Amino acid sequence: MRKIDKKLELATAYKKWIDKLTAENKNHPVYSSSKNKYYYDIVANLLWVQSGLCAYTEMFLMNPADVRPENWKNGAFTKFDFMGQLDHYDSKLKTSKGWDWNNFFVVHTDVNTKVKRDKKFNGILKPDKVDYDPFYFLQYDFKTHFFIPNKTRTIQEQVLILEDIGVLGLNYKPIIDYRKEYLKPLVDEVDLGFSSIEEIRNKLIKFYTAFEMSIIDLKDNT
Amino acid sequence: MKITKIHIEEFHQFKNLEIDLTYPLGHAKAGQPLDKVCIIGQSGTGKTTLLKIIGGYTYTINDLFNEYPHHEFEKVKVFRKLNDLENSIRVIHDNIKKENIYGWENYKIGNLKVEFEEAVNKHHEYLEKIKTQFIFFPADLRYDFVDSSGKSLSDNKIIDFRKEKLGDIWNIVLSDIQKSQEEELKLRNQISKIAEKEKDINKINIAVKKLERFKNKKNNPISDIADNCLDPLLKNFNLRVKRELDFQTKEDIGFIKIEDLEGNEIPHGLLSTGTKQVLLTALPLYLLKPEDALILYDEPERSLYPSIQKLIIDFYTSLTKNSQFFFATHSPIIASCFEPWEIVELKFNSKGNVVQELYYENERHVDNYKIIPSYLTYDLILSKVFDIDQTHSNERSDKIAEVLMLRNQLKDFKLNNKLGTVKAKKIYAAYKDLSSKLFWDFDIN
Repeated sequence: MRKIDKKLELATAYKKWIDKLTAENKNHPVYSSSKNKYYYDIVANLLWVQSGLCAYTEMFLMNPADVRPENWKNGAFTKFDFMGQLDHYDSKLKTSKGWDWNNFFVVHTDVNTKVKRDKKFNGILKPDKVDYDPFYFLQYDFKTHFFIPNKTRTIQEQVLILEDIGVLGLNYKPIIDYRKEYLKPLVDEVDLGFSSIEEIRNKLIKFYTAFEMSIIDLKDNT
Repeated sequence: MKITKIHIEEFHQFKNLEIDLTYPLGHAKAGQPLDKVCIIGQSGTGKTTLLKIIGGYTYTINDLFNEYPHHEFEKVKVFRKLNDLENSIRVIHDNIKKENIYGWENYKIGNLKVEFEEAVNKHHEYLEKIKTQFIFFPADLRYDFVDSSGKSLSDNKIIDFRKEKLGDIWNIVLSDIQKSQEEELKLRNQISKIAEKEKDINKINIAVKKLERFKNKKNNPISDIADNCLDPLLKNFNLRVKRELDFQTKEDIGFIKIEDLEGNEIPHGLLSTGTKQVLLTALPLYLLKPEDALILYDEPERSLYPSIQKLIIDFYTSLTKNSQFFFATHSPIIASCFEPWEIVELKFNSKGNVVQELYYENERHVDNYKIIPSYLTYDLILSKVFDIDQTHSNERSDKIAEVLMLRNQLKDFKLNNKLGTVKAKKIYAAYKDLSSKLFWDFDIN
């Protein structure tokens, strides 16, 4: 799960609207993906800052070039097809602050519907948090392709991080399988000396964090 | 007769579907019809329909038309091979005669084009020599052993268990059993007579040895069925064929008798559905010993425990000669018994049409197959062949992550020479407990 710099600089029409609501201390309208005219603006802006990846699992959702700034008009983006869903990171805020930019991420559909749903979690792993650093909180076990808490955290912290890893779908089985099939041959290329780390970095289109951590794991175990 | 290709331009959910049923390039039998085929696909993709088309375009055309309107088949073509005779078949409905006829195309003998009459004559000549041409085991096989028409199934060239009475399977051997039993009774009577009249121990011994020789000879049909067909399968159910039968007439015999390993006969009504499935699907093949037949099984895994599913495909095929089998199944265990070129995986495309998922890239050559079931674990068969994306639960994922975390913590304790602490011991106990519940199967995921 990469750190995301969630600059709201493309969906300016939405920004104006939400800033006004906030300034006037007004309630948000009821959240509905189909009834709000800013829905696709939010999604397109997020996909741009998320580099086209699921905010949590780094599964590839769409080519970020499709939502690049040149394709926007007057701070709005026309309706488009995309893989994934708009997720309320903290589902408790869905009713009171259903259109809060800080609470939105675009994520893999299965992560949203089959894993995270409305499960309680600790909020330690939030990709846009100022103090979030994947290498501080997480570690990648290249043998199993599981994310686990970083061993340098305290045992109590590790338990909380582990819970959040589970809720955010980082170890959802189909995603482990995709990650394993994608990364194993690439890390092997490095391990066997057929490619340099830099060459593989240039090839990557997803699972960046797992790759970097795999290289660390590889070095630790050789 | 064997099928080499099915081409469906349009029929129900099928559209532009072409299924090659020959061995691929690079195989020792390249170009020849496949000996066995496994059809898989989620419900609604038409596995059973495909079986019915195969049956209909070879032997059971009228049954096909009883189920589907004839005009729907105009865009279906099936390519067949019978010894050196090849042809493709379209079904045409003769509106004047009100009958369905096979329209032959591309007929060749030994790869040479011939006149239609010559091909037809050859076809009949070859068919005439095949004792059992076609057997169909539907998914909803009825388990009524007692129901018999009195005729023997060996008289039928086409055996379709949607219609045949299952009790008729047994009629194939009933006369042989009776003859064998009568012969045994005769020998026993001879011993009694000698014992009564002669009182000569040598003569009695000779008569007893004659009976033993008879019993040891492989002419006892029940022992033959038990040893060579059913007992190897029934042992999985802790059952066996009852060999000693007490009867006066063949009507007394009824159907085959099954007993437990202590010799207690199990009434047919108390046999499990799995046992009945094994009896009724293996016996016809063993008793008929088909050669050059086309044999279709819909859901052969029905009611069978995985260990038996693993056996049956090889077992069924071993009972026949030069026959072609088609199995439509939902079972990954059954599917794992096939080579990749023997699997026809049907799936819906984005337009809702059924297409075949191809396991090879570029040319259809054995070296170009990317999914090889025999290389895969059942976990991978589920995900790669059956397209099940989640092959274990979220709970298992959570627990694997937890055990990895605990192991990591223990490594840290080790690094700091603190493995002897109470805390480390507590974590180790939790690690071992959870690992054993995961059967230590988390390193290679």
